[in-house]
Amino acid sequence: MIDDQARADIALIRAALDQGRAYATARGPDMIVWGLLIGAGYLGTWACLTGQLPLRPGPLWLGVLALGWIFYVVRRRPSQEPAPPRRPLVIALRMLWLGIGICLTLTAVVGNYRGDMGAGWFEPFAAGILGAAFFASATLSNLPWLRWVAAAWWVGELAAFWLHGNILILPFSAALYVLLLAGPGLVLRLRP
Amino acid sequence: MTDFDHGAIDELLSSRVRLAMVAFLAGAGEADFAAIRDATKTTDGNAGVHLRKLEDAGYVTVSKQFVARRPQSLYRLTDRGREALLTYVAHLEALLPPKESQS
Repeated sequence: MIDDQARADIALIRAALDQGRAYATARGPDMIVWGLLIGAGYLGTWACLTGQLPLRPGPLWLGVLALGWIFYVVRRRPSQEPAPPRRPLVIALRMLWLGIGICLTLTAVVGNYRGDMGAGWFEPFAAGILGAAFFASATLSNLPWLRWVAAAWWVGELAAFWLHGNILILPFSAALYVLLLAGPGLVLRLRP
Repeated sequence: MTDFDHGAIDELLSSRVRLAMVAFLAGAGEADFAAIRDATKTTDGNAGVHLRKLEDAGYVTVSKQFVARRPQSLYRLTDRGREALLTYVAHLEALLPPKESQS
């Protein structure tokens, strides 16, 4: 009887520790930084293509992606303090977002290099992927409202298909990344 | 029957809600009120009462600030709270068969 109670308490402590670490991971500044950087990249591209910025979009995006990844690497430099043991839930959450970051970066860089990006498929593809990431994160980090962010990304995906071939896809995408990537990151840090 | 020392168990952590709050904060480092309430699946009032008890016992500290004109309460586990959690876990593990408590 007492053994069962002790097992139940230890399971509760492990689950709560997991949730706490997952919460701390979700609350990190990565979403804000990446959302603002990519939003700026899309706005910059729009400014380039409308002649308001004397730059080519390629180098602009190279700078955006380099800045984002440098921020990611610098934040995760090994510290002097011993690292706390990581639980599978936290590892899953981190790997989910790292995998998505690598997938979208590779797709964008290779697509741009091969000249496929002009076909207009990347924006809805990326929106769909990010929707799936938020949907999974809602469960992993015990933040159910992130499912609504996922739904908003999927609505954005449909709208991006609809805006296919229209230059307005660029400011629209900028708004998506600022509102639906930097926005949730900001809410997680600032909510009462 | 297991030889069990009831007096050694921390009364404050005998509540599952408070135990979950302390463990959540041990993992999170720092968390706002809403996150703790959601993680422990309690109401605003219930979470407030339990957090106040932990604060009075010196297990958590709270810092209040205004963000975008709205009050935000950030909770942190103190060294005393962390020590209490570790002691509580040690007591629980002592109740289990040796092999199981190491898993």
